[in-house]
Amino acid sequence: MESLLLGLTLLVTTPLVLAAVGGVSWGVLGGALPGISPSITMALVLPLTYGMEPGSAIVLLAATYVGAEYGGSIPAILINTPGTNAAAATVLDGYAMQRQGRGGEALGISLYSGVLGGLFGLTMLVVLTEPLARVALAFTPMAYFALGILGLSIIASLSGESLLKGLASGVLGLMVATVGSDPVSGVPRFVFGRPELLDGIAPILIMVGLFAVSELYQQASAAEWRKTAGAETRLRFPDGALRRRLIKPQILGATIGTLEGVMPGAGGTIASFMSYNEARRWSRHKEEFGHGSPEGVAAPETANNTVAATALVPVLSFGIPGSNSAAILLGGLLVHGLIPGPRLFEENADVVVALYTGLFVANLSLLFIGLLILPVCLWLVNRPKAYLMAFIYALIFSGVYSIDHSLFDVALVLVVGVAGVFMRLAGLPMLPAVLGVVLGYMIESNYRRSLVLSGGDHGIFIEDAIALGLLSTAMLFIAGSLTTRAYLFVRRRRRQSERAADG
Amino acid sequence: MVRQLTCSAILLLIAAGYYSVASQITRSALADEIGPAGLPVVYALVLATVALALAAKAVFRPLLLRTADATASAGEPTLGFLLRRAGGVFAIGVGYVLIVPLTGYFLTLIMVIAAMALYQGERISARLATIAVAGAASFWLLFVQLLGIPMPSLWGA
Repeated sequence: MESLLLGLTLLVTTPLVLAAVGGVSWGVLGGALPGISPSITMALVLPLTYGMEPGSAIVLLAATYVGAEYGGSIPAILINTPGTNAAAATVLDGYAMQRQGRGGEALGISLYSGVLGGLFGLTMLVVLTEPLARVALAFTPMAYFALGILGLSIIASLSGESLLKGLASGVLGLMVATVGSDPVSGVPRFVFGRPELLDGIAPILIMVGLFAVSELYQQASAAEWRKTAGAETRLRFPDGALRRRLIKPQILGATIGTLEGVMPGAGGTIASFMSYNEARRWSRHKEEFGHGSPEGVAAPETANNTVAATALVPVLSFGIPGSNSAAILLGGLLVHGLIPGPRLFEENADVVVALYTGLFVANLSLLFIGLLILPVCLWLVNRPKAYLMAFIYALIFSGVYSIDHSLFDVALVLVVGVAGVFMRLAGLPMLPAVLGVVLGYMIESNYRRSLVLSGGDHGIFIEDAIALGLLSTAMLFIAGSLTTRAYLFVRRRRRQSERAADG
Repeated sequence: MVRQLTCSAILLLIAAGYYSVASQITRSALADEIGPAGLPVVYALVLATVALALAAKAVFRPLLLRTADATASAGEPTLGFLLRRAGGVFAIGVGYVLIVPLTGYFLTLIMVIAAMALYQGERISARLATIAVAGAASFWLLFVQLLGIPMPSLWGA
């Protein structure tokens, strides 16, 4: 009660609301630009916080993070280009809905689910910081390796019609993840004398190349897009029936987002992919996934916005930044003389309450900012195809160059786009490749660190309880997917035989 | 079947090339038991196995199931046309990478927007020029002025 009163007092006596709304607006803009990551967006406002009072400064940074994590879904849905890594899972059904003239509905679902996810994550942050922090500390290299394997296990169900092709695509992604310095010894691998490759290839470059650039290459030979009717270009929030249908994927997204968020390094990308996969597994409309399923948008959007709040648990509790964005937030805390840890909650309770209050305002303002800017975005993507393609290409060049100020990256994205066209022609699904790129480094580095700890004994993965649990879950996922595939195959064959018998 | 076999052959080539480079990775004195080449070699072998399995599936599945290859539906572009059109967009992209260090971000972006719109069937007109200039100006304001990204400038100045 005391904290609630303090929160209300802070709302009216400090520029907290301004910091929350300003941060979210800036974050949405940054997140929506491919290449401008949440961490870059936060870094750009960091200097502004030096002169601010600590509570508002931290709220500005955290609200920017919330906005940026949401903003990534806007280009993912509208132009097949994930603005952030975590928005990659939204591409599949979001863009399919946009191509069906349901872009306004997809954006409405993403905004609605994002706000719910953000508020749920905030509740978890407030109520469960202490127990969740214990989960974060219990994670060993073995558990991180197992988490990576669990992430990869969903390839079995993301592979579309051919499991072999999904597997090939996933391995290609893992191969790309080995480019750069070796995680243990630092030896350069697959860099071919290019210093630009020493730090590896950023997953966002692969995503932009595979999804956006290859789409542009392919659209160059497609007919003019059909004219979208006025009603189809309006932002549409889900109605009662759809809201009820979205409850299950949202619960899945919120749960997975909470758990993934507290693990430093796991992040929103794994959470959104896993929740997409689970939403499909538990859906009554599995056949719609990949072809414009509202649940396929709701689950990852809820998950990555939940992560935006729960990722603050390890930062506030132990000062462990699990991502670049969290590291910038940690920097913001340290600049103001705030030392993360259990004592932060006792000695600087006003700052912690300000942060919670600010995040609440930020999530609510996300809704209003979305209402303001999404119709403009919808109008923009319904311009004539020739101009839209030209502007998307210009946006890709600008955004990709912004990551490292490197034309090499731009050239790389063009080449990855060519690879994307060939993958489409060969029927190789792209999501497994993206998963491989995102998880490859985490899997390899933690696998090898674990073996260094055990002196080469693989038994360490079974001895670690969390690792064993995660690996068992991965096995169950794979077995479940294979069983479903076998069942569907047999059913299809039986129907074909029946049809043939009927003549 | 031909397309699937081509896909398998390309995957096999990638696996072979990747394996060849992986096997030449130098081993550091700091390396662990697995070493920097350990997992890459495994990945190459897995990809090669999957490629061979795909090839086998492409050959034997039509015989077992007696299914015909899927044919392109009416209205879909032919492979040659698709690749030629895609090649044009790729060439515009390569042009951007080559020219931008000389002509700078703003001018090159005008050229890219105009070239892409022309390539997609727009005609040379005052409207096209206005949209290209206004578009480039918007990107310049957003990325250079607002976000402070040091984009390439004219003649590298």
